[in-house]
Amino acid sequence: MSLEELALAGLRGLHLGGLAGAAGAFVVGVLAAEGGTRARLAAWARPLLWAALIFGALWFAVQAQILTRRGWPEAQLLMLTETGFGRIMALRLALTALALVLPRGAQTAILAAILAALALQPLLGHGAATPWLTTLAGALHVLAGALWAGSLPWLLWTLRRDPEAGLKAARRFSPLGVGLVATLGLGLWGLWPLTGGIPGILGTDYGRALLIKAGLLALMLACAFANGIWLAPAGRRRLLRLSLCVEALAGILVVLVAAWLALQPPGLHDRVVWPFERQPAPGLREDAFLRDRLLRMILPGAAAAGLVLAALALLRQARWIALALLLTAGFLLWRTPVFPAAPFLRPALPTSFQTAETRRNPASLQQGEALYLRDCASCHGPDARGAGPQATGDPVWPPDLTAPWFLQTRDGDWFWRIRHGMTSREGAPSMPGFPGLSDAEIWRLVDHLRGRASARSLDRRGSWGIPPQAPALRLRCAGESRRLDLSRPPGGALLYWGSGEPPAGVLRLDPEACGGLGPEMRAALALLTGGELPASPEFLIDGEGFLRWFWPQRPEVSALAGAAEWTRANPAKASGGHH
Amino acid sequence: MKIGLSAFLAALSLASPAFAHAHLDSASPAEGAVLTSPPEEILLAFTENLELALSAVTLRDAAGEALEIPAPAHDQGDPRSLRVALPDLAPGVYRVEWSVTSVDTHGSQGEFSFTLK
Repeated sequence: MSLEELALAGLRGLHLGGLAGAAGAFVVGVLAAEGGTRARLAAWARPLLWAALIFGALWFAVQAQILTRRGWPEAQLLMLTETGFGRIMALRLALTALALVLPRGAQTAILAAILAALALQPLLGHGAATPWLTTLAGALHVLAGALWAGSLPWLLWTLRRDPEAGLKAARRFSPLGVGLVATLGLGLWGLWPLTGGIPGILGTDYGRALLIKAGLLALMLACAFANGIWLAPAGRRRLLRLSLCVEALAGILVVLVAAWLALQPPGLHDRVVWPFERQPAPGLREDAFLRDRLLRMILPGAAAAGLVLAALALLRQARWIALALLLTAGFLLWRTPVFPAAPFLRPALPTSFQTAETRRNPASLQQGEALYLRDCASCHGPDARGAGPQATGDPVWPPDLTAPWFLQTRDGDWFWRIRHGMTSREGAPSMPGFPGLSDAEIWRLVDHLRGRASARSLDRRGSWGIPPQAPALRLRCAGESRRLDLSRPPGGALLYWGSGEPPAGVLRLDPEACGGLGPEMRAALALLTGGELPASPEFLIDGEGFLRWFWPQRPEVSALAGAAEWTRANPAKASGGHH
Repeated sequence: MKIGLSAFLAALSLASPAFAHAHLDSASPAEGAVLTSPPEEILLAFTENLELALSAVTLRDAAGEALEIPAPAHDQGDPRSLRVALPDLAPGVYRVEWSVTSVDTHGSQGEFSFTLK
């Protein structure tokens, strides 16, 4: 961790911690429902708010310095007037200041100002660049987490100062805690796409920090569970204090880890380095047979875990029911089928889940072709079908790279094999590596080969069995206010590139009005159609930017309507981790 | 006080950030493109919304000299894009260097070349 990362994470964490602690003090004050305790807690909130204000201002100042590389105060002024971060930060600090200047009796208004400041947190990090629903989920997540972690030190303080009021507050906190955990879960569900899924969690620093945070949260949950169902109702003050201590410490660590996480590229955007020798088989979700087998193993296990938790919750109140639940869980586990793991897993490489950063475009396809002809065609053949002039001298006959199995292998696996070469099952070299190629060159080679494989799936009607991603091409069409990208249809609409009458709901791009395709795009499309391109080719592109239909000349109105209907009913699936 | 704060902030900013966020999604002219007519503009599309005030594009000729070009603007209001109108370019190899900050305050940079015949 660099000095600046450490400083930013620390200042961010202290600022957030101050706000969370102040909010928690008000919440516990209400729960304790005892005048003296409540007033003391409200008084404690003030230095925390001051701390939040000072650390927040410092965080802003350092962030501005790092991002703009300008002097003080030019950097801060630029951030404040020209960036979204500056404006949101100003609003947040103003809300914190408002909480400080409001009359001390106006506790509801003060708490509302603090909560509003906390809810802005996602907009000061990854949430500023995510869809609004994800940002909203992030706000709920921060609010629930901050209220939970921020209340714990005050529950502990109240328990020490006034055990009766403390016990009352702890008992009342339990149902509130359940609500906070539920909200936290809702936030997690909304934020899941940012993690990059399982590969992002297991293969990036962001994901591994998330696992630490999840472990700390599990510890907090376990403490809260024990507090709520056992220690607080039974009045076990000493154990309750110990449990709250552990929970509060874990809460502080969660806030610090969260502050560090906000500075890291999320798993979705980071380069995944897969840490295991096996990976889930590509296409596992689409394979009904494997999916069924997996569910038959997972569902009973999950149900058994739920039954065990329920049994633990009922252990004190209804011992026999708890025992029955435990027995049921045991029976479920005993009856759960265990299938061999081999079909679910494939060999993995460190780059298995990596993909090209830049999208396919006409120039990249051409460069990929030039690289292929230079480095690969002598063995794999100019058409990539595996019959190059040197094939007979190779230790293993080169495979057909246009076969469907190529598309079922991840781009990242091909990347590794091209760079490092391949060995046969006996351990002898079967293909040399190409360490001299740059990352970008290897990705272009892989993309070019994918294009060839897709071209082979084009049938006589003009439909691709394995649709290729359309190359990125920005067009300035007469009559359109915005520039259009062929690979990113606006609003997810179907795009028809042609001169015929489009069916309802299909956006037509008139080749003449858009200035034609240009020689590079024509060459790229010739590759993706697997032959010479006619003078006026026509295409249908789906809302995800996949080429779906190709016509050498204008299709009949009914054929176009049928193609659009079929395309809507059969969405394309990205292959090889392509995006 | 002011000098002290500046020194503190400058010390913190010495280490270069290792963040990478807004990736270059597509570029026109494309990376490695060989053009037969001079491009009117450089158009860069990124994967996230950008802070325009914290984003820059530099165009260098084959000798490494930076050409005078206008500051980048969003293309037709698209916050993920940068557009730079170009003067008339002579044939040669050009390098585009970009440096952007996404709205979530993460910076990234990169470069690519194109050739004008």
